[in-house]
Amino acid sequence: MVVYYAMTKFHLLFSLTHKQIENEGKKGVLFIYSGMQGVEEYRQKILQTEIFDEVYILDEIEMRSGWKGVKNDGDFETLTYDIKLMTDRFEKWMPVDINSAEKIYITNDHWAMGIYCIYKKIPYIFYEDGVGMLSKADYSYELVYKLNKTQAYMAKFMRAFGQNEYVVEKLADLENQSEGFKDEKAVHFSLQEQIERLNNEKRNLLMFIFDAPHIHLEKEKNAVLFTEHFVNMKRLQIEEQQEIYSLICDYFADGYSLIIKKHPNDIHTNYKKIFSDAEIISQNFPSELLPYCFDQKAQLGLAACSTAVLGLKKYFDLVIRFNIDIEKKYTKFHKYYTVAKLINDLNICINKKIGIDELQFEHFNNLQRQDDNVNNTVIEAVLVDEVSEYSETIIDNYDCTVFLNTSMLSLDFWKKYDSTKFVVIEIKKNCRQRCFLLDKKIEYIFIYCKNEKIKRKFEGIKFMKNLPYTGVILDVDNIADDDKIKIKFLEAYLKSVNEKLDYYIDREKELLDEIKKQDKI
Amino acid sequence: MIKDRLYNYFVRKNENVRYEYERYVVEHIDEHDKKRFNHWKILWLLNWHYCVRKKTTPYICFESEDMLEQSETGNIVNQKNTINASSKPNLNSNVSNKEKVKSKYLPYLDGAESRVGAYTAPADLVRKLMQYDVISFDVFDTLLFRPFGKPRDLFHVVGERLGILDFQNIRSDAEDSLKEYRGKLVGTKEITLYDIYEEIHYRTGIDISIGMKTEIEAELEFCFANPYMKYIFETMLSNNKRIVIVTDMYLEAKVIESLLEKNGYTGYEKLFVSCEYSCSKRSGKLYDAVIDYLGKDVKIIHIGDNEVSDIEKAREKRIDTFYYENVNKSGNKYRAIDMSIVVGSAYKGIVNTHLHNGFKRYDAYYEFGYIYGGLFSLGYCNWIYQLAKQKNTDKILFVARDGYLLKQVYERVYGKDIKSDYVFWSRIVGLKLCSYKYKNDFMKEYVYRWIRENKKITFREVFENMELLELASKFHEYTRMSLDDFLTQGNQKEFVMYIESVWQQALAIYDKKSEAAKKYISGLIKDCKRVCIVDIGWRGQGALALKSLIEEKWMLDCDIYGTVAASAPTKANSAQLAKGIINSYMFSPLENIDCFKFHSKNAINNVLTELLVGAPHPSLKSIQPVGDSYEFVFDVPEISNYPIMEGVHKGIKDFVEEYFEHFKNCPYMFNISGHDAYMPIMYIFKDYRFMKKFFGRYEFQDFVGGVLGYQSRTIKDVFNKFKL
Repeated sequence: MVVYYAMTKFHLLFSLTHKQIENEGKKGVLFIYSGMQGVEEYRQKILQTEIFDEVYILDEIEMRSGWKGVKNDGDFETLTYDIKLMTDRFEKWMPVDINSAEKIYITNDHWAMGIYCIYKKIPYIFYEDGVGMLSKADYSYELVYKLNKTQAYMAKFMRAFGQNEYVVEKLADLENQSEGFKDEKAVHFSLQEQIERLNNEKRNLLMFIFDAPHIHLEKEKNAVLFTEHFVNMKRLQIEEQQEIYSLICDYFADGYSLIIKKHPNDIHTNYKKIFSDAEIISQNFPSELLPYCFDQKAQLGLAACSTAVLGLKKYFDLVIRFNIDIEKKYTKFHKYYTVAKLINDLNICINKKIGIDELQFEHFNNLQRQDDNVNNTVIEAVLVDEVSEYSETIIDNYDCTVFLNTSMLSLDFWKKYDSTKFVVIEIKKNCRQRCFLLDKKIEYIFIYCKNEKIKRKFEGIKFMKNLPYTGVILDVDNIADDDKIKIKFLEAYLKSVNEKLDYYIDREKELLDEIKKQDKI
Repeated sequence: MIKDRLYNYFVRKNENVRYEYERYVVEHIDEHDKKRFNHWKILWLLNWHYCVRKKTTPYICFESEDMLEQSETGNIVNQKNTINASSKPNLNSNVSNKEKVKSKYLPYLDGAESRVGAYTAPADLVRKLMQYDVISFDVFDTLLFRPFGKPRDLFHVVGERLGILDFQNIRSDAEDSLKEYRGKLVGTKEITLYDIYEEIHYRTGIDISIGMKTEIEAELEFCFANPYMKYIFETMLSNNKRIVIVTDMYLEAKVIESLLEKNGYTGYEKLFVSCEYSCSKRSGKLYDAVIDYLGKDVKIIHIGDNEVSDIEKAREKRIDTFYYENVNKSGNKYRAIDMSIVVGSAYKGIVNTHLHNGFKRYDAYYEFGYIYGGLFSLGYCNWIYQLAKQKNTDKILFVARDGYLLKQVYERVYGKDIKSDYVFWSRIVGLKLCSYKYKNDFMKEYVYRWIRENKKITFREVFENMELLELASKFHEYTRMSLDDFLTQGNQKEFVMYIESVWQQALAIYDKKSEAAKKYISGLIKDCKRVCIVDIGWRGQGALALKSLIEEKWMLDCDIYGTVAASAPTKANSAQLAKGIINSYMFSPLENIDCFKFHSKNAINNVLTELLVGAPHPSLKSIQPVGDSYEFVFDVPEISNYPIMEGVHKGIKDFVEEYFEHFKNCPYMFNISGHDAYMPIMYIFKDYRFMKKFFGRYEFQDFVGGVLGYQSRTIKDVFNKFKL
C-alpha cells in the first residue's frame, strides 16, 4: 500500500501523476484536506478513474481543535501538549493504518499527518510544496508563521519542511532550486516532465478530474498571467494584490492578448474589474495542466513570483517572473522602468550596481533594449538603490551615478556634493478616475553628473508612459529650474537626515532596552 | 390641557430638568413612544436630582461650560447606568475617569473606532461565503449607504428642493402612519412611494409626480456603494456565485435597480422588493418567494444589517445569515452632539460609513484627523473662500506651519479661483521683524516668559535666540555678569537694561532681516491689492505682524486682513475682531461665546487644536539676507512628529474628499458653521485621555527660539504643567 496526502491542488496533481508513474498497480490510499475547494467532487472522480483505491477526507480543523496555542518560541509545555493532542486525534481518526504502508508521500509535513509521522518516527517521502520550494524552507516557515504561529513553532520544533531524519527522500525539481542548493536526500522529480511522460489517456484522466478546459487562442500574441493567492496567505492587502497585477500586466504584457490563470486559492480578486478585456479562466485547476488546455502555444508567461511558471518555461517564448520578495519591492517598478528607459535612450553603460533588485532591473532592461542603438557615446554609470552607506570614492570614477533611493545616504555625502551637480528626474502620476495605484506621490531619481556635458545629456529627458490597467499615466520629466533642483536636493537631504535620526532614535532605544535587561540580570 | 399642566409641573418648572429632559427626548426620539415608561423614569430621576435633592450638578448632559466644569471635577453621573439600571443614580463626586467614559456623551477614547467590536475582514467573509451556492444581500445600509447619520435625514434635502418647511417630519410621518393604517386594514404594511406621496399631496398639496421624482433623484444622487459589500459582491461574482438581492422597501424594483446599477452592482440574478411582492422580510414571507425561486436544495446565505428582518426571519426559513452591523448603529454613539441637523447628519453619516463599513481599519491618528479635523478644515476653507470673495481678495496666503494642510484642502475644493500660496513665517520671525512696534511682546517672549516658567537659559542663549549675539560684546563690562550665567528673577532687570541700551543697534540688525523678508513677501503678493493671511489662531498676531510690515514698514500698496480658525483665550484682540482686521471662524470673544468659554478654560486646547494642522517641516527661525537675495533658516525639526502628522493629514484629506464627492451638487452643504466645525473638536477635548494617550509624546517648541533640542516640550509636559 502506498499513501499520499494532498493539501492543495498542486499536491493532488503530484499524487495522481506520481501514483500513475511510480506506483501503478499498487494499492493506493489518498488523503485529501477537507478545506480544498470541490473536495467531494474530486473524491468521486478519483475513485471513478481508479487511480486510487481509497480516498479519505481529512478534517485538519478538527485535528487541531482544542489546541492551547503556543505564545512564544520557548513555550515547550504548550507545544508538546498541542503536538500530542493532534497526533492522538489523527491516530484516532486514521481510517487505514499508515504504519503498514510501503511508502508515504507528504508535501506539507507540518500538518496533522506529517506531524504524526515525525512524532511516531514513521519514514516518509517528502515532496516540495511548489516548484523550487525545497531550497526555500525558511520562506515556507515565514509564510506559515504569518498564518498560524502555533503551527509555525510546531514545524520548527518537529523539523518539518523535510528537515528531519524520518524523511527518506525529497522529491523536487532540482533544476529550479536556489543557486548553490545541495541536499543529499534530494531526488529530481519534475512534475511537468512527468505529466509530459504520461500517455494521452492517463493525462486525460487528470484533465477530467480537474475539469481543465480546452481553450482556443484567437490572437497571435498571447500572455498568460499566473496569479498567486497573496491575500489568502495574508502577504498582501486586497488593494495591493490588485495593484501588483495591474502593474505587471501594464509594464510587461503591452501588446499581448491577456489570459488570466488564477491560482486555485486566489478567491479574493475580481480580475474582470482590472482586466476588462482579458480572458479569465474560470476553472480552478493546477497550472501544470495549462499547456494541454491551449490549442496553440502562448508567447508570454507572467507571474509575480508563482512557482508554477518555473516548470512551464518551455511552453512559452518568454517567461517573466520576479523574486519571491516582489510583494515588498513591486512599488519600485516606476523607477526601474524609468531608469531602464534612460539607460537605453541615452546609451548608458551600467558598470556597477549597488543595492539593486537585479532580476527586476533585468526584466525592465530587457523590455527596453534596442538592438539598433547606434549611438556610440557611452556614458559609464553606477546604479544605486538600497544602500546604508555609499562610498563617495566610487562616484568620481564614473560619468554619472543614478540614485534610485537617497534616503539612507550618509550626511557627509550631502555636504560634499552640491545641488548643481545633480539632475533630478521627476515621475508624476496622473491618475484616472478608475485607478488601482495606491501611492500617488511624485517619485524622484537623482543623477549625479561628473561634468556639465554629461548633465546636459539628461536635460532632454521627457516622456509619458500609459499604464491603462492601473489607470495611470506616468509623466517623466527632468527638473530644469535650478531653484527647484535645489529644493528637491534639500528635501532629499532632509529626508536623509530624518531617516538617520530615526535610525539613531531606534538604536538608542535598543541600547537602553539592552542596558535595562542587563541591569535585571 | 391636563397633559400640558403635568408637563409644566414636571418638566418646565425647573430649568435644569427641562433642559436635560427635552434634550434626552430629542436624542432618543425613536424610542419616545415605544419606551414611554423609560422616559418617565428619567424625568422622575431628574426631578429627584434637581428638585428634591436640590443638586446643581448636571445629571445626564454636561455640554455647557458650567456643566463641563462639573464634569472635570468629577461631579457627573454615569448616564448609562442611570437610565438602564433601577439603582439610584451615582452622585458620588469622586466618579472615576473610567466611569465617566461610560457616559453616552463621549467619543471613543481608547484608540481607533474602526477597531472596536467584532470584525470580519472582507477576505475572511469571502472565504466563508465560498461554501454557499447563492449569496443574498439586503440593499439599504448593506449594499448601499446614504451619507447621513439617519437615513431619513435625506428628506431634509428633498424638502429644500421641494421648497417645503419641515418636510422631513411630514415625509416620515406620512410613511409611518400609512404603514400603520395599511397594517390594520389589510394585514401587511407594504406601501409604495406613490402611496406616500399621495398622502403628502393630501397634507401639503404638492404634486405627486414632482414629489416622487425629487425623492428618487435625491436617492440616486446621494446613495453610494458600501466599499465592503461592493468588494464582497464583485468577488463573489468573479467566483461564479449566484447572487440575489432582497429588500423591504417602498421604492419600485426599477428604481432600486437604477440605484444598484449606478453604484456598480450589476450581474446579480434577481431582485426581490417587498412592495412588489406585497410581503416582506420582516414577515418572513419574502424569503419564501426567494426559496421558491432558487429551489430548496440550494445552499443560501443572506447578508443584512437588520437583526430581525435580515437575521431572525431568514434563520426561521433555514437560511444561513451573516449579520452586518449597521454603520450608524456602530458609529452614532461616538459622534458629537449639538450639531445642526443637516450638516451634523452629513458629518455623522460620512464618518460612520467610512470608519465602520469594515473594509479597512485605521489607526488612531488617521481617525483623529478624519473625525475631528475633516469637517473643521473643510468648513474653515469654505469660510475663507467666501470671505475672500466678499472682500475682493486677490490672494490668500496660508501661513506656515498651520497653513500647510489648510492650503491643500483649500486647493482641492476651490482650486485656483482665488490664488493662494504657502508662506514660510513664524511667531519668532514676526516678533523680531516687528520688534520696532511690538517690543513689549518681544521682551515678554524672549526674557520674561523664561523666568515665569522657571526655565533655565544662559544670557548667551538668550542673545542667540534673539540673533543679537554680536551686541553682547560689552555685556560683561556693563552688567558685571558672564554670558554663561543663567537668566534669573534677580538679574533680569539688569539684562533688560542692557538690551535697552543696545536697542537701536538691535533694530538696525532686524532692519536688515526685514529687507530680506520684504524681498520674499513682496514676491508673493506682487500685483495684489488685497491679501488675506490665514492662520489657525489665536490672537491673529501673525496676520497683524505681516499687516504692519507690508502696509507700514515696507509701504507696499496692498491691504492686509487676517483670518484665524478661532480666537481664544485672550480678549486682547476684540477691537481688531470687531473691525474685521482679524476674522475668526469658529469662535472668538465676540461670537459663539459658549465655545469660546469652553475652549478658554484650558490653555492646552490651543496646542491640541494645532495638532490637526501641523506641517512636516521645521519652524522658520529667520530670514537672512544673502547678497541681493535671502535664505531661510529653520529651527530643529521635530521629526518624531512627522509620521503622526502624515496619518492625521491623510484622515483630514480623506474626509474632505468624501464630503466633497457626496455634496458637490449641494453648495449649501459646504456652509459649515464655525459652531458645527468646533463640536467634534470640543467633543474630544471633553476628556483628555485620547489626547494624552496618543499625543503625549508629540513634541513642540513652546518657547521662542527653541534652537536647542532640549527646549522642546511634549504634550505630556503641558498636561502635567496644567495638572490635567
